[in-house]
Amino acid sequence: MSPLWSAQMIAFFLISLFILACAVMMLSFRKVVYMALAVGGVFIGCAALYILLGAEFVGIAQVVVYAGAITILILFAIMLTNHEATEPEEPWTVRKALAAVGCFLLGVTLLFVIRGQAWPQGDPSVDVNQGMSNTLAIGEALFKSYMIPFELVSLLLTVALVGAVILAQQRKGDQ
Amino acid sequence: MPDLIHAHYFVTMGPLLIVTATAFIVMVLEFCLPRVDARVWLGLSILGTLAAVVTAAVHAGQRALTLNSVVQDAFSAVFSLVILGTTLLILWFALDFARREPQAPKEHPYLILFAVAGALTMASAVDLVTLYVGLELLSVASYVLVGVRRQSARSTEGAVKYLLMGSIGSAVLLYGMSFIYGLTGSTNLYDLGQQGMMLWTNYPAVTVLAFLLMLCGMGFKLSLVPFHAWTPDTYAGAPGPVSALLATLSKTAGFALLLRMLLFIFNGAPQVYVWAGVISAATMVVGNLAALPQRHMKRMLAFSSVAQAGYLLVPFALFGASGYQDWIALFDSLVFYLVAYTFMTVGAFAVIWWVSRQTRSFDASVLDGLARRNPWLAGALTVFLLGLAGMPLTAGFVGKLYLLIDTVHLHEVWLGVLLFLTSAVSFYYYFGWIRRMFQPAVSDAELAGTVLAADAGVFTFGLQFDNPPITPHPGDEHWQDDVEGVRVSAAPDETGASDQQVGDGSAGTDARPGIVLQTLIAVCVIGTLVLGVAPAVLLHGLWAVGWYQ
Amino acid sequence: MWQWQTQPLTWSTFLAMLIGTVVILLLALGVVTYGILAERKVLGWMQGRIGPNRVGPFGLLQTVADVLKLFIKEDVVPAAADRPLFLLAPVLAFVPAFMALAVIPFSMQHIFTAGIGTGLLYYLALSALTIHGVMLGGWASNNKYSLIGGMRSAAQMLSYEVPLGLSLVGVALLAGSLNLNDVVRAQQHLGLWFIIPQFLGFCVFIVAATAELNRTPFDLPEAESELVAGYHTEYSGFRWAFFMLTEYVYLFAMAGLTATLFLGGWSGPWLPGWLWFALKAAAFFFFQFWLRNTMPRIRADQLMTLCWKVLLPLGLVNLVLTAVLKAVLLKG
Repeated sequence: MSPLWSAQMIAFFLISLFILACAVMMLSFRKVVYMALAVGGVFIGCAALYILLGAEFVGIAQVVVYAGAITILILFAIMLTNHEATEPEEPWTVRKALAAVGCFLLGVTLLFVIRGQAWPQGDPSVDVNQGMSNTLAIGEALFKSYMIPFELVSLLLTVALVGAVILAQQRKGDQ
Repeated sequence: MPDLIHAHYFVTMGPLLIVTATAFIVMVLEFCLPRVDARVWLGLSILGTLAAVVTAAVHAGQRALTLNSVVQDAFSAVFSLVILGTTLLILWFALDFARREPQAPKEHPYLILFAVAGALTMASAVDLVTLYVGLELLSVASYVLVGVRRQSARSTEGAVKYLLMGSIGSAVLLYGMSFIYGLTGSTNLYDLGQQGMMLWTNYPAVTVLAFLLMLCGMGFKLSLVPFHAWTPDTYAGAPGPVSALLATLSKTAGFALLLRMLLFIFNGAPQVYVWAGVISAATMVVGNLAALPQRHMKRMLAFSSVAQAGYLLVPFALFGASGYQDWIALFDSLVFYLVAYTFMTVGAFAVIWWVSRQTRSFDASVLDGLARRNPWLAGALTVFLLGLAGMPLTAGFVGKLYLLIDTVHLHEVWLGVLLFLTSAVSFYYYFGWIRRMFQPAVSDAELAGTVLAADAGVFTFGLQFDNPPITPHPGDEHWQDDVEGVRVSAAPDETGASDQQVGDGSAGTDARPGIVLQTLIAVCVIGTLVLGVAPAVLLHGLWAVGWYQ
Repeated sequence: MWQWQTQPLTWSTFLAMLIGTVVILLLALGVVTYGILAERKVLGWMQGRIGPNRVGPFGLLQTVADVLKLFIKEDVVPAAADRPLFLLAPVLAFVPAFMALAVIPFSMQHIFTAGIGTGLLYYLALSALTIHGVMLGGWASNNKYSLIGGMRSAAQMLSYEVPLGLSLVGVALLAGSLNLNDVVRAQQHLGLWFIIPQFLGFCVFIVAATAELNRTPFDLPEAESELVAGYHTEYSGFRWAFFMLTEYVYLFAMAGLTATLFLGGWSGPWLPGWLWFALKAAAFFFFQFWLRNTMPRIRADQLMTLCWKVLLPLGLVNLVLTAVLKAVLLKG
């Protein structure tokens, strides 16, 4: 079996197609709830890609955090705030056209740089998890070599939490 | 396997730990005792910061590496001290702010301290992940600090713009980092430093791309052109001390991160630093030109800080052309300019805040005749503006001189010429303010609650510099308003305004700043002048620390 | 062919997977059918009634008849509803519920269940996905009761997922793995069900699990006295049946999870593994029916207080205690 048509390759193309389809749908939908759902689809597709690459912990964590919590929060924000259920069609302006051209050029540049380069190939015989399960290997890395950033992230989350409370709480004198 | 128990935590992270602990203590106490004056918490924060300064100073000579992610070397020692010094200035500023503005949010002290914790991490981390987390800590705390006055539409606008632009910047930076990680399989800067040559020879295109992405990502945070658009709105919307924090502390930390990251990763690729020169040139030109028509004082200072970021980026363009021996001069001039810039900017923001608070307006016209009303404030502001413009006898001049010498020495004269020319342009707007303060005519015509109009600003620019004696122009509504506007009875105070006035004047009526603000401004003036007259003070300190020890 | 977990993917292992899936689906349908009947019988018994006894011997075919009735009912879509989402929502709710069954180790020869290394997290992830279906169903119905029910349901499930996850961390710590098969083996090895060393964690778990299942006393999303029927007010026929099926499949999955994590799973003396598992799961079912009969509904404001101010701190305390226990006693 040629490597192009191995099961993994087929799965990769199917998942990529799914992600791209969801992303395009997210941009083309006019109803905000549909957009949120399409974003959820992108998140799930990414999780599938991670699992395909053997990073099952990251994949599942992606589903928990992004597809689970964040999409739901987006839906909550949509349902609890006042807004038009359907976005109005926006006309094309010169500014938008220029932005589109810029995005296209950026994309083409990135594509050429990435494709025009021979990338370092990992040795498939080396087990990156060093014989441990994927979860265990991540835990070892997180709590040993990346101990300090891990603790700093908890600080970051505290600030984000307190900041959210400060910005959201009712103050005296507020209307 | 790193040793978790016997690491030198206090040597490498002492200031960080102290600042974080203070932040948590202040936060919890503030929740528990909501009735206590905010100044108590600020005082506590200042004490904590002082303890951190002492720790940083004591450990400045030691060298240690903890868990491959945080390091104590000359670089982190110097930048930690600069950051902590800036923090003291800003907390001191906030102390007066809290007294004068009873409506001011009480969350300032610990959010500022959390931001400082992030900044300290950025100065001392040698791991891409740690650096990034530190950057995010600083950024998230800043977003909240900007948006904390929710009643103000300006504040919210500034916070939203800052949040969106900052997030994009983080994403771009992270994208650049991901390329480096993908090529090398490591996030540790020491590992990456050893692979620098390999990166450039084997993967030149991706290396340039990663460099550009990282530079642009930080460009959002450091408000480099063309990523500066959020700066004026955010500075204008934020409370005074927070604007000062964004303009100084945030930039110092950002430059520290950028410096360490780029030097370690791209040491084998001198060619890529040209791009830093390009962005530096664009920032100097656009920042200075855009500052010309500004009438809103904070917006003008914002554009001025954009321009200053351009000057600060000049050394980055020179790293490619130089060897390790020349780097010492570059480090010295960068740190010198950062320190000088910090004194001048914090001082300028403090004076502007005071003046605008008295007159309830941010329009530059409230500076008219300030020299007669309050000669001491006018004198201080003049010193800061002269320093920012780069006049001799101030720190700004010496800083720019060093940068100029560096460019000549390292054969990148075009940058030096550009630096000189754009500084000359900046004289126009800085001197416009000084002229306003000292000119005798229509000096008492104060504005009452003026709203700015950009077109009026352009008009004034022409008026200011082409027709020096300002006369009310019958055709322009703006000036009509000025003349007919209510005159605020801010009696000219000739009896030595520099007398230190003690006691709580009721907010909004006393015409002289309190002792706290006076001290702050005095410190900034002294800093600006001393560094301008005797730059050796700071340079000897830097020499004593020794970059490569 | 049946050892597909360790084999490369070929047509025969694929076929084995497919058969396994169908078997699990049939098992789930059977459990749900008779679970509902058992619930009604138990409710009747506790209330001094007889319960359904007309269709078939002892009423055994009652649920089958109900399902047939639902199949032939008209599938009504309200005119003002958001049609695509209204049709999609039950599917979005059911698919993750069924997928969650994939990691439950029903017996020692776990050929039909995936032994993935992140089983616990996988369960949590999928139960979070179901919230989408519930919430969108409530929104798409364009009915105020549905919307409020959907929002309440989403808020409740999202909030209680936090203490649920925290209580699971204690078990994972003791077992040293997130793989559910390893958790069962760890209990066998210890000779003790985790309900003993993890009693506090079990208490948090059982409360949070009941809330996750939207069952009494946490049935606010479907509080019939205020919200008619919550998020599925406008649903009828087969689509309504899907929502019901989702709820009972989750009950089944949660019973399996409880049995696996705290009651030793398929391990036990004398009897075969699958029977032990069935008994333990049945105990969970019975406990839920019992709760439904005896507890009043909790108030909406108490709901969040209980989650964030009681269960979350308890979960954290449990986590710390477990870590200390593991470091001091088990290593010692």
